[in-house]
Amino acid sequence: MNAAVTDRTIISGIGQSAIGRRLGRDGLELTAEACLAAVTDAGLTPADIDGLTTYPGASQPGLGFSGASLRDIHDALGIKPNWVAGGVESPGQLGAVVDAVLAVACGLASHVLCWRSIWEGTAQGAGRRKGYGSGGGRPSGMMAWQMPFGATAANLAALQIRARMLRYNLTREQLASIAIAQRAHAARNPKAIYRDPLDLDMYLNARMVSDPLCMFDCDIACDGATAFVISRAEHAFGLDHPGVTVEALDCAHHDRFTWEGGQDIARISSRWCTIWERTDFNVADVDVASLYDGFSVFVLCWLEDFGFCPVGESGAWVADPARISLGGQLPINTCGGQLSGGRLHGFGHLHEACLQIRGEADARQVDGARLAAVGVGAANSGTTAMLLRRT
Amino acid sequence: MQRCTCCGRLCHPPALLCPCDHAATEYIELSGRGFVESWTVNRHQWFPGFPPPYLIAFVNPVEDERVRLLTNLVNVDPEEVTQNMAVRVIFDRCIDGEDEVFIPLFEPER
Repeated sequence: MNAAVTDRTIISGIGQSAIGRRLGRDGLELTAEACLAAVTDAGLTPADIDGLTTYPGASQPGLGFSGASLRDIHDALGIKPNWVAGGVESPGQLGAVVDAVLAVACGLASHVLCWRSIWEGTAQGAGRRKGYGSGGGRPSGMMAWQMPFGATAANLAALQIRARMLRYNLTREQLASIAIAQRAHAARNPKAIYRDPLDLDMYLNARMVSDPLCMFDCDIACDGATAFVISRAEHAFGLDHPGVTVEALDCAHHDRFTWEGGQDIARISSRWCTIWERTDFNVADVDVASLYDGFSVFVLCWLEDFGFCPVGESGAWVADPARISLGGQLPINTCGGQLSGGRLHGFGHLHEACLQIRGEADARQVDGARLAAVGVGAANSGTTAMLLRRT
Repeated sequence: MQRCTCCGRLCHPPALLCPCDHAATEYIELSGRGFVESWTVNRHQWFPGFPPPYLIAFVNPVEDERVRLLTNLVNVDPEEVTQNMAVRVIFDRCIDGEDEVFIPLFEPER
């Protein structure tokens, strides 16, 4: 259905900065490192870039939530764009990539640089941690219905886990598979933050953050930036590596952008999967998946949303971690995801899927990875689902 | 809470028009009774003035169980909370300068 759009574009370059729990480096410097790496990877120089897009831009919901605004990078790299877009109200974090694909497909630009940077590790370290919405005064909007009750996203994820336990008989042992499999993947990724083995006993005895959600169900605040270059499809012939084609794109949102206002708190409330209407592939063709894991339970929601298993059966589906591990039926978050690799906020998921499709994932490469599923965003945020294949 | 003037569904968080049929909404008074849909025992200190542990829950009003309110359960032991437990609202009056707010909390129906 949207092949006409996605066939006109490729992900020509990918780049990532150093990643660390607390690097103590400037957010702009980290962002520029990732951006320049992506431009070089695409076989280009900053002078070739004629479009810029980023999430979330200059908006700052929390300390370190954005490492560099669109204008910061525009200035820092001396870009002369014909088109720019940056902001937080989009189909989730990957909305910035969707914008880039559309701009190139429509001829507004030929090579769009697109990034997400985050430095929550440094910004919130050593007594500076504040959490969101702690500015004082009467909270407004979504916060008006959370702050008075001392509730954060972690608590809402815990409510989602409990709802799945009550309705679908999800167990903590099943949920543990996500964190355990991803930690084993992280051991094969030199850039991952936590690489020591994690087993079921450690998981079950871990500190509770918000019962039944424990510390291993939460992603890790970190410093790091990820960037992509989206180019016109014909640029694939100029690359020294395979191009990556977005086979299908799905940004559907048929429910409210709130945790509690949606029809079903056990699901990613606002999502509505339309991706299989937009491709000739089917769910059995997927070789590897990058599924958003701000909290572990979101992976279960994405498995059901993509249709890897029926709604409510994801817990049983992942009960044996081998199924979602390297060598298994559907390896998930092969870089360690955000639970072990660090909270790169969705762009890390797309980066890893690109590496897999290009065959460059080194010790964690999935043999013969031809089709990757990427699902980013959760609950109250917007979401984007993608299928990637080689150009 | 808000109620749709056309389909009669409750609507929360508040919206200008009913997300179901786009009709106008109006505020109505509820009985204050509901059922626990899901709950969690928070054990981490996120904010000053909220020392853990405390209970956070979704409560469905008896008037329309399709909607839910995020709230705290109070005057109850965490081990005693069960699915669909009957609860009743109590209001916590909060003053901040000129600003006066009544926060809806829930306790077990006795």
